[in-house]
Amino acid sequence: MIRHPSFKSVTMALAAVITLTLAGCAGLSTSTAPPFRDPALTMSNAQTLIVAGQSKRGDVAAALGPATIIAFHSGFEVWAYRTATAGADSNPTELVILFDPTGIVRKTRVRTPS
Amino acid sequence: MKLLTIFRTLAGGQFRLTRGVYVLFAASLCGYATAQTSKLAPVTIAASANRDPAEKSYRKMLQGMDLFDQEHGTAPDAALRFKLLPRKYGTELDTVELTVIGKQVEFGVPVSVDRTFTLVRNAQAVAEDANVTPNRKFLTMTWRTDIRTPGLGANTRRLGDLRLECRVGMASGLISNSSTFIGRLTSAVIDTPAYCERAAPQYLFFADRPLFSVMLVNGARREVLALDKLYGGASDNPNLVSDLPFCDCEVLLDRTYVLPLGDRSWPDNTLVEFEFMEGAP
Repeated sequence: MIRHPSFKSVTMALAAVITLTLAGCAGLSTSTAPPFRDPALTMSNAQTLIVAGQSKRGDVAAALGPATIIAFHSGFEVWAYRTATAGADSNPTELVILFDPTGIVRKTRVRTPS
Repeated sequence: MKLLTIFRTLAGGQFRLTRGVYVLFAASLCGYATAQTSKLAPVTIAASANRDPAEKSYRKMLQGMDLFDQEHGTAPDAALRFKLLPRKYGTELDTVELTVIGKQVEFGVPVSVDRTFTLVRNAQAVAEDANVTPNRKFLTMTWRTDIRTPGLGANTRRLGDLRLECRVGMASGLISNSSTFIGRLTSAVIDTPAYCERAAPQYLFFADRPLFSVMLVNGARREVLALDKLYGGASDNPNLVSDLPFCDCEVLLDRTYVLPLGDRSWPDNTLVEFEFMEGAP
């Protein structure tokens, strides 16, 4: 199982929850930066690379690059790749990935702008 | 002297005493004192054992009930209940006891197994500006309204119900976020029902289970909420860890969402459909 280098420290620090971006804790995704390491990758194509019940955190990080991560006290994690920043008027395209406490993808979804 | 030391230790917060136990213990002390010296007059103990309770204003909660009566048309098939929720890990609410306490009046409030309750109207409690007092400490729990149209699925709520939850919750003075956390989200102090009419109010709703996705559905129109509308805005808050203690969502973060309550292009009959973390995709 491949784990991102910062995963362990992030997990240990979580008394409650923490939001971090992996790969050197880079800034949150912005409207100008591509959401994936491969800028040519589309949301739907990226989603097909992730297999619920099989893919692990390291697999996803390797395939897609750094994500915005929300780690919950329950052990579940939500990873997000987004095309825009948040805000009252934000309407981003998003790939959202749910990891269960064992680190395996449980669900994925793609949100498209309304 | 020894008894007084024990009393101070217990009252100092090492043990959580119910009001009844406290009074009994105080009565025992009185008996002890009387036995030692008959010159002491009887003492009336009026203070609650829970010295820092998470109480709410009875008057304010009745104001919320009044608003619900006035605006019942927003959720015509639903009834109003209030709900207790944990705010800190380890908060036990299965045995929580609620009491309306004024200067003279005092009566218990039955709490259902789902931690919801209703309030009776009591003129004396209003006149005495009573509080609705749980036997739990301040900031260990929080409160919300619970307004549900019957017959909907376990993964479905109705937007009109939730609009009214917000308005009645604000009128009832239930929200216990500190201004620090809410201020970071809204740049405003919010405590009136009018706040709920904003296009994107940060009134925090809590689903019954941890959320993966929330979708608005009105006929053929469907819209999935952006991630920043879930989890208390955690995805875009680099100060989340330091902010969380100030949010009443602290232990419910994975159930937390906000809605475009003031966006009237979504009618009251809009359905709010949840996909939970656990369960089929």
